[in-house]
Amino acid sequence: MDKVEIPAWLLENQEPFSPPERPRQNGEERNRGKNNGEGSPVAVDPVAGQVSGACRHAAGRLSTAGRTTGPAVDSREPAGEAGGCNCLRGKLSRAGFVEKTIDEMARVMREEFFAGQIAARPGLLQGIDPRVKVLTTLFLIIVAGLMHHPAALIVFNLWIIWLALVSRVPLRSFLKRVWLVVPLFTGIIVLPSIFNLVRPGDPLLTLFHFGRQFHLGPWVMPETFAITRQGALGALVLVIRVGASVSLAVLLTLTTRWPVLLKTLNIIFVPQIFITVLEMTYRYIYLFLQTASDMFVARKSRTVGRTSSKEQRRFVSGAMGALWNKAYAVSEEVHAAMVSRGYTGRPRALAVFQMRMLDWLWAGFMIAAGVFFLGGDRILGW
Amino acid sequence: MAGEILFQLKNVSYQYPGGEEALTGIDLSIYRGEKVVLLGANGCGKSTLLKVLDGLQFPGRGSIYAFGEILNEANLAREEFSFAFRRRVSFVFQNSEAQLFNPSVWEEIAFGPVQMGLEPGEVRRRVEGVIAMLGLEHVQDRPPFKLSGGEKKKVAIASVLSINPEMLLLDEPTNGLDPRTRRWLINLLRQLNAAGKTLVTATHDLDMVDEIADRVLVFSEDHRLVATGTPEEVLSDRELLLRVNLVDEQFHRHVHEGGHRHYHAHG
Repeated sequence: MDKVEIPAWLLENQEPFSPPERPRQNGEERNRGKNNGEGSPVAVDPVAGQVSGACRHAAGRLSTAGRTTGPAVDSREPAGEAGGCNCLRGKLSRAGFVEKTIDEMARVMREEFFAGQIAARPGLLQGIDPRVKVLTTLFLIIVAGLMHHPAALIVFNLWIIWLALVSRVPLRSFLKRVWLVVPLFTGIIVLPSIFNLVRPGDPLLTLFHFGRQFHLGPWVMPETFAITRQGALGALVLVIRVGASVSLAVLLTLTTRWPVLLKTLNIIFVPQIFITVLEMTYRYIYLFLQTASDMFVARKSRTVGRTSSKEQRRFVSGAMGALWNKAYAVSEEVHAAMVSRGYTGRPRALAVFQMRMLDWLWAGFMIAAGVFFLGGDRILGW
Repeated sequence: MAGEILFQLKNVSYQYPGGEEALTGIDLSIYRGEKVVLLGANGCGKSTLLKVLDGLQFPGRGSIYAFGEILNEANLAREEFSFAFRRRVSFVFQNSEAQLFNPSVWEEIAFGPVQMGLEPGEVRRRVEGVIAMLGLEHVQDRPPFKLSGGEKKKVAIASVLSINPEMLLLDEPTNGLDPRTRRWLINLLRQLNAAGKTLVTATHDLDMVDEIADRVLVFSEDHRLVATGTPEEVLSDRELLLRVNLVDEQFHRHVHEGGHRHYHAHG
């Protein structure tokens, strides 16, 4: 049998068991992942329809036994095909909703978040000191909050998209992540304010003409019910502003490896307990989702024919309970494995933070950009 | 076994939070440089004993001395003690999934040394040394969850070897491995032991016991240590193996040419 070469240090004897002083951690390598991640053999295009509503029930989806391997193998069709799909919609596809969602979540978590593939790409933001990135991101989010003019905000957003481009973040996935979510959530919040009922102003689009003012319970209904110019602009500005803030945050998390980001948070005085919770979540969220996805596959392999939606619901509720127990056991195990290898609750990463010329230049550039956008916003006026 | 005692357990009992017994009145010593196998049927308490030895669980009764010091929660809460202990004793979990929680194999192997606060240069030297030793170059940038079962086990072992422990605790290390990887692992363990590492392996794989044990500790299903002996003594004691429910009536063993033995049951 082939013998292995045991390196000499592995044979070194430990010093006697009187607890020695722990060596201090100083100068470490910076952004190791960046150097090692290049040319990774497992590069997976993260653009692949992760939030899209594309039809994913093409071939192999109709037989219950047809799909027992990894999750979401057939989820790569472009969103545009959703309408043209002529497979059996309805019962079958609806039945798998929870399963599909979990599969997709597991995939996104695994490929993009856990494996940090974008953060490992050689790009502009990836090379910047994480502390600079965190602080400039906070600064730019404040800038976005102070800007008022829609045109200035739009230019600001375009500039952020440029930042994403030079950092080799896949544009489609980045835009979807921000602009599918932000208008939905922020939009719902600001929707009432565009009507003159909530915020009086110059009518932009008249919806109803009541003819006269009247009382409806505690509210006074105006003569006309309309969307106001001020309301619509205010809502637009808020949505774009939130969009810019979310873009900046997404950009930060996509271009920074998670362990490094946590270490940075530790440096900028985020409470320890908060970081520990984040770290543990990160360590086992993949296992958690994998377990959930396995449970669906296991059930599928034992199911013959169709199940009614009532049975489906019963399975999902039972599965949630079982998953809770499993998750608890797994989290204990992961924690034990971490403790066994010396984890004490303090985030440690093999990343030295050392400001280089580029980092200072970048910090300067970001501050200049922030001031420029604020100034532009003031000049455009409101 | 006149060597230095690394671990000494005195009347150790452990109960699960529900009150279920997992270990009952265990007395044992583990000496430097020996290889010990904990043998017993599923659920006999082997894994729990390993966790107790690694200071991950603490016995309800009895006491443990590790390297001459008391191993308890209070001591492990002291950072210096905990680091000194964790540097010496490493645990290879049965479930590699739970043990591999880093984004890449390289970082996985670096996790231990980084937690121990080693210098970055030293961390790199160790990680690269272990990667070369176990032939993991082709997977070093891949996320561990994408590896095969055998590769996962290799990475799990690599991730504790980079700490350079004196003592390895292994929980069913050959579970789920193909014959070739299993053979590779047994050879590796023998080599590590020959190089001075103390091995404590929990298993019910009778076939490898005489290769990775100088001493076999047999556990009964009521969580007691019922016998200690050389592999030869234990494996030839059919009554004992039957009593602890490790084998059935059909069990027998073959001795092939060259003295290789294996143990199995014909249906």
